[in-house]
Amino acid sequence: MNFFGYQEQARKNTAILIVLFVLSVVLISMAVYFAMVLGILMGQMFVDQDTGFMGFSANQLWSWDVFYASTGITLAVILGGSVYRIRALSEGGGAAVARMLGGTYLPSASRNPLDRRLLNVVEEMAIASGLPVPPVYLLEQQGINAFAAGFSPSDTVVGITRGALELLNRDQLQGVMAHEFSHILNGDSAMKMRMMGLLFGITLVSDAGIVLMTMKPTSRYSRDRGTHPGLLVMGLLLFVVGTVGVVMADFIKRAVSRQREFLADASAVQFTRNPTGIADALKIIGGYKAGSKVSHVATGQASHFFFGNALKSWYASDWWATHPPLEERIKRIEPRFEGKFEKVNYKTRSSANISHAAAELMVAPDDEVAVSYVVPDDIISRVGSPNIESVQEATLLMAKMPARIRDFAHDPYTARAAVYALLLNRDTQKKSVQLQVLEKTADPSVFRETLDIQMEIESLALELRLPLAEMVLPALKEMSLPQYTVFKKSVGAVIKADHAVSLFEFVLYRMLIRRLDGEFVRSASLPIKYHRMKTILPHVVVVLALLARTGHGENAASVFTESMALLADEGHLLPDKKNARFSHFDKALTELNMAVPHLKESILKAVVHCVLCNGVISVKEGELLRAIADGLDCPMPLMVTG
Amino acid sequence: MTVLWIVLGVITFFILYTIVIYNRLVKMKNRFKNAFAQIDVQLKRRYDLIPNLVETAKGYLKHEQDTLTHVIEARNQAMAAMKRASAHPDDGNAIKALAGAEGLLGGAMLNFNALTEAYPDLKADQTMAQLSEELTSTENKVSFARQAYNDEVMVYNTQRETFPDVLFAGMMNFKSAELFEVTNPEVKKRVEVSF
Repeated sequence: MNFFGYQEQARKNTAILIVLFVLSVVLISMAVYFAMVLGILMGQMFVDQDTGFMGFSANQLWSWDVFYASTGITLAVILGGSVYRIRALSEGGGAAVARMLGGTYLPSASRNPLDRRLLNVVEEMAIASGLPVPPVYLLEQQGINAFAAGFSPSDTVVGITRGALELLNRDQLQGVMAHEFSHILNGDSAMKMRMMGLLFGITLVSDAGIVLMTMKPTSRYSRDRGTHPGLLVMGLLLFVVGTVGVVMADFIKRAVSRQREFLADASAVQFTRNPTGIADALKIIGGYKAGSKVSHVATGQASHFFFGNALKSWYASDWWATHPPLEERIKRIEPRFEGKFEKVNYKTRSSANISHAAAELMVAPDDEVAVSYVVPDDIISRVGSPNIESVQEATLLMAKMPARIRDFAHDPYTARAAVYALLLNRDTQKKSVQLQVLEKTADPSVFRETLDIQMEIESLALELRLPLAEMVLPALKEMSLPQYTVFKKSVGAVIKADHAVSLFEFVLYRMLIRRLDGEFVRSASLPIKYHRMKTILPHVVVVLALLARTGHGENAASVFTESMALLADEGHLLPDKKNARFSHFDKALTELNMAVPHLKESILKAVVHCVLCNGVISVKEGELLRAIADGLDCPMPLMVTG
Repeated sequence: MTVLWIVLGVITFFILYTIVIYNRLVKMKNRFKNAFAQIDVQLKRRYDLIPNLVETAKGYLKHEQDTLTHVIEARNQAMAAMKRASAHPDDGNAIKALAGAEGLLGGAMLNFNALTEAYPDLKADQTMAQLSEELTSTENKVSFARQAYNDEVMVYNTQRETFPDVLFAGMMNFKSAELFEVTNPEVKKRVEVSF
């Protein structure tokens, strides 16, 4: 199965999730009803027998009134809680989950060797797999664990515990991160976000019980005799009944996400082609006293996000846990594993690790990359499944990136200058117009920084331009909203200043702004709007027409017709030039992103055909393809090009 | 029966609403706490650069020990204040102390810079020029990060003071946060040192 297949599967998992959710709601409603009846009956024992309690008589077990009341309230609590949580999550994205777990942002400009190593591993993996570099959050926890959370690649963050940072070496860290990146690529992260939102409502009933029990007396009755015993009992019952929800929530997590852990492990091995990295990380967890524990109030809600079991509850046997047992996971990677874990000593291991990390930073990466040239037919199968060559290529690229530009990209202050410089035209006259505009709109000191870096960025190799745009993202996300507003305005002004935008510049700009708007303006994940090729075809026509025109000049008409033939029967002719505008192209790409995965697969095939009809991929074409694929949220890995 | 309906309805609403308010404030508090991390990195860089700068200048400024020690002392104090502040960015006093220490350091650096003006050899020194350029750039980064932090603090404080959050904020121990504002060092000191 390929990327598109896994995406479809993740969507099916969401459907299963919703069915299980409805089932839990029914179960909980019933449980709440009986708890209420019981509570009322017991309440009657404390109240005058002749008046009864709230007009409820003792010999009734079924009362429609109580049923309506209990079900109404249960539904309100669960749905209210879930809707609220999903809204809050889609507003806050993956960062909201990280912060909820007590994570702090790890600035990409950090110079600490251990931080640097982690940030480099994440950056290389992201660039290798064609994802925007995610911000990294650090959880101050002794246990070894990690997670990736987010609805879409723009709002995805990765988190890691202090224990993992200090105890794992580079290979192990890479293995763990490859596992997390597989979750992002397979569409699991988004599914887990939805799951977290839905399950919040289910576990809320038990929380409501706690509040009810601890409520302060308010009415005249309770002031005389303390908390109404009925309320107290009802609170206790609600709490006990709510446990049904808590257990159900764990069951849902188990049913939906456990199998995906094996998949992510397997993809990680495929990705890094180094089974020892991830297997050793799992072994260290097994031999380490704190294991993969994350002790935080919010761990329960987010346990399904983690790399390893983050929490152990009283009723949870291995079978019931959100994650498969360590031994089984290791055995699937290393069939010969005998189940013995070596004891891990925190002190000796972490101090050795710190000196290693410092030494690594001094060493330049190996220059040899096993070259595997890409054939156009392969491109689609490579989407979403990066391999070790991509990672090595990314490592090499990062080494080729001048140190000054790298430093510029890692700091929100200078990253803006890097973006401005990236957008400058190579034509001197047009550039000077752009610079004039920039001087007026941007902060004067940033303008100076831009002048300072622009020569270096102009001479940057073509294959480094898109990775640079991916690198600046985490730093830019650290701006505050007012700062971003100014930045976005200046970017727009620079683009418009010269009246010539190349296709690549446009796609680059679109990628940047789309990702950043996702952070600042916050839009939830796009709904699926198109299920059939027929309805989406007009938008495909716009995209392919522009690609054929800009790429093939005289042959545009025939290339266009050929590419369209891959999607529809009738012979489509290249539409009039009048319609070819970037704003239409932009809108069409947005629409294409709302197609179901298998439609995207076919569309991408046609796009690939349209961009490279001569069978050879130049660096420029490769980067253009990656940028367009990014617009469709189909991460295309870095390709080794000739 | 209606009484039960109403009581439970009100309770449910009350619970949900409190959760909404609490989570909103926590989210905003975390945002500004995280924004502090960015300041932290740049300040650390700055505190690393200053001793190098002083070390380079030492050779030229043999008779100006006072100013140099003053810079180093102010730098050490600021560094200590930063450690406390980065452990608790939501502690208003720690931020105030850091802002004060930063102000003093700024003053000391101003004196130091004024001093270097008087030594053309020092000004011409390659290392010195490079270090001071990097220091300036780091200072710009600090103030940019500080602006981002202050923006987030403003958002939090505003939310905290709006109704009905203001009713719960005190109860749930959400204290108002402090802006990180460094008062510009006074220029008159420069005169005092020049001669």
